[in-house]
Amino acid sequence: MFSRLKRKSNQPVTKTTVSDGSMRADAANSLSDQESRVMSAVAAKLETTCFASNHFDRRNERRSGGQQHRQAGSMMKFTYKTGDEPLAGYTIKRGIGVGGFGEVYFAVSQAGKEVALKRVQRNLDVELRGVGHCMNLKHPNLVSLYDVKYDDHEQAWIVMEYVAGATLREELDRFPEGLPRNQAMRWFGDLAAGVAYLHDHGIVHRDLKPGNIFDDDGIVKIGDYGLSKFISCSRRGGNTESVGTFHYMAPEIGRGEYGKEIDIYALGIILFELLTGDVPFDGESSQEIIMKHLTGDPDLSKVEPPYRSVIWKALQKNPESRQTSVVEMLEPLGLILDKHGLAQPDPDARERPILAEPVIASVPGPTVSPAANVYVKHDHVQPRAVEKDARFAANRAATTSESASAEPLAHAVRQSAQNFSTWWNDQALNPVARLVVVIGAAVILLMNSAWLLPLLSLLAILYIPYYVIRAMVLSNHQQPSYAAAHAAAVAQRERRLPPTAQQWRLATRRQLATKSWRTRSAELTASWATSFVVLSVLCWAATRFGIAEGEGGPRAIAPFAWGAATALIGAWTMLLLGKAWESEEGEQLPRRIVQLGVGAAVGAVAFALGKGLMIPMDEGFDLRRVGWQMPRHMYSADGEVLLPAMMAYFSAVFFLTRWWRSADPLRSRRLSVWSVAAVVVIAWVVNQIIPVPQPWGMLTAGAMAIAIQMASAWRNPADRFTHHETLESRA
Amino acid sequence: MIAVAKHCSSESERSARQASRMLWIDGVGGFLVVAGNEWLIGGPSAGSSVEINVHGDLSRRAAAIRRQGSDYVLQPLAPTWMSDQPLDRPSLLRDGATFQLGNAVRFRFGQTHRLSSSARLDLVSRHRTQPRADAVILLADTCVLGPSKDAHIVCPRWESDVILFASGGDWHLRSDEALIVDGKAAGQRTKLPEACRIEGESFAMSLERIKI
Repeated sequence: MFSRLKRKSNQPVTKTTVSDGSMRADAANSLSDQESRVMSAVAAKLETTCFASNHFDRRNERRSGGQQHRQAGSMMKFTYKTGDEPLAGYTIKRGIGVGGFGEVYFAVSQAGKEVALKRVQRNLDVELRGVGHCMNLKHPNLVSLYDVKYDDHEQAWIVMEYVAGATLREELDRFPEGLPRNQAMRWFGDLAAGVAYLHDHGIVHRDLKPGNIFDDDGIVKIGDYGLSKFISCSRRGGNTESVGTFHYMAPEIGRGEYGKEIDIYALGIILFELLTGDVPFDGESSQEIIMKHLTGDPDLSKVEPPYRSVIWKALQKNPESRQTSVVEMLEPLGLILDKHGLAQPDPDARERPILAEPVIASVPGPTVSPAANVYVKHDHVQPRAVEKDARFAANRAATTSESASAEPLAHAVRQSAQNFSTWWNDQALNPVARLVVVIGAAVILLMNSAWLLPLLSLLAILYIPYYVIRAMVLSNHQQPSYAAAHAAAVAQRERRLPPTAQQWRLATRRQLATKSWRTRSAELTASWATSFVVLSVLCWAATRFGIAEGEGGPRAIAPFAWGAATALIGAWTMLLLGKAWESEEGEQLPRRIVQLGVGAAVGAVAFALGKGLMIPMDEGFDLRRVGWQMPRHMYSADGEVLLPAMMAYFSAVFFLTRWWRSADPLRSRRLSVWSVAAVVVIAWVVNQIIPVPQPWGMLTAGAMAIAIQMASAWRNPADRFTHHETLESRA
Repeated sequence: MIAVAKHCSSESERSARQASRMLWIDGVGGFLVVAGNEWLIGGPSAGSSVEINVHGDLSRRAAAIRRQGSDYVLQPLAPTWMSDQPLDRPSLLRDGATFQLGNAVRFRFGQTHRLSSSARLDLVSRHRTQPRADAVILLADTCVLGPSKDAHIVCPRWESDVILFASGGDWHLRSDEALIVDGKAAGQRTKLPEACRIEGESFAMSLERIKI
């Protein structure tokens, strides 16, 4: 039996070492190779034994808040039934449950005493010796042990107090979002008092978990103590293990260390679960959960101080970094143990400042930033550098998962903008003072625009190729490491599986189709106004830039105005069409043909405007460059652009570009540099065949692309991660 | 009041006690199931003369619960409070109502299943029934045992609902799973002996006579 289990379990372990090299490397950062191998081996063993299915059931159970208990694997079958008397003097009434060490029954003695009988399936002397040590422990928060008796088959039975109330597991299932704070503190205080009593008597519980903690008419009682010695031995026996244990298992258990720190660790997990309704480390498989215990970083953003720092310290990977006693855990929570060993609110709690509050930087996502490692007042808990690395890896992975191509410069700018807005919002300035500051800043900017604008434009010009090259390089080389993929998977799952991009798109598209024409026209008007503003700004900026180099005067300004006006007409038309087309995906060709017509119209208007503004239409191009006969007819003999050329140019540009995508609310980002660049390139290509005065032709097309994207409504695809529930309900 | 006391006199006692059993469900709990239309609640000195015997500071006959169709009426026979108001006349019990008998014994009444007129009584104070039960089931027609939230006895790990029902003085059980009663295959629907062991594929329970 034993060797068979061993052989079975070897396979997954070797697999782990071969295929997931990176993961193992990460694990090794905080714990040795051997440890992680041992942990994996423990997990693999458990997987191969009969209670593996139980383990997953329990997890599901918690997930669904007790909704999905009905799994065939979790069926309870008991050896004895109502009325049986396997142990002389006790009549079995019913089976209560199957724990880690055997079946537990509710029984009544001949005199009517109600007891719980635990049938110890393997009479390992060590186990019973453990019980012997606990036989005379007396504490209100411990389930009392009465006796150990043997039946006719030399089978050992533990006779103990019967607790009728719910277990903490059941209580947590009733509160999927965590217990109310006062109830959570009642459970935790009593639980900690019981554990402190055990520790004071030299006993480590080793198997603290909500299934072992009972509510006996308002008094919390801990069960199953004294039995969990040599936890790994008993597990290897392939016995039915009451499961969920991994969620509360400290990382050093893989090294065979069973100090009282593992109880502190379990208390930290239970406190987290009491407050949030979920365990900090969860996964699809026991290996995954164990991996997270070894390397993962708990997301403590859901709990507030002082709980956060208490949990943070209790969940340290290094046992020595944790609280050294239960009392140390209770103190920051405003609880003390009185002289009878009972948890009481601390009368002096309010006067004491909250010490050792970790700085948790405002990093969104499932992990706490590396800065969380820095304690403010306790410098002796400076974590080991390796841990820091492991945490950083997980953290980095989480951020990469959020935006696959988070560009560092853009990120830095966004960060500073965020900082600025925080600072701005934090300032206790009255609105008038703020207005004065804004006007002052605007005036200073305007006065310096002569040199600022060219500088900024230069930066922008340098940034575009940098961005393009970076995107191209990264898309080829960004192979996520195992750790990154792992963390990303976790992040994904913690969001409770948002819809895929495709699902989101379909749902939102359906939603768009239901909009009334009134909403549409209101949105269209807003878009038109925005595009007007955007183009005015672009025109103004371009004028400043152009004039700074040229001689100035109306003749210099006229082409800018001409381009802006043309772009405005094009943008407005495309915004109108985009609004009409947004309710369905639609076919390309019909839309392109419509755009061809729009382009012709825009070209005609551009020609008329050009004439009106007296734009020189003949400068700088050589008709001999144009290879084909046909386009030459569109120009006068001396190379002046005629109406057909202008119409043909814009038709071609409109036909070749998918403008409706720029106006689509479901485009992937509000302003895509790619699409603007593509438009400019298309305009340039068209210009090679049908020349028009440049750079105005290209500038107009580019400005139009920017204006349309800036002005049209946009649904951030990232919303599907945050608002997918509402979206689903609407759809 | 006198009329009620008279009504519940000795002739109906025997049948009332016969219609009471303990239902021990493995992994779930023990339940006192009392069939009929009228149930007396009394203290320890009442012995077997009441259907619901509470180990508490109660008079022999503290109150009666009567069923009228699918409505339940609480008739106070001794100081009684309903939702902390003194109760001196028969009063309708609604799902979730709590009432107090004597100084300390508090019950919660529940009628959770829409399709069944059976109800459930839970002791919310630190008291216990005799024999000890996690709840009392007032069996009118059917009692639903199973994983659904509105079952009279919620059995979280079960695969499907099991229906216990009284018909012509006998108790029957209906299940989607094949039943084994006292070790013999009994199909999916069977009449239950007064005391028996019932096993399905995913559950096991026992009916027990009440010994006082």
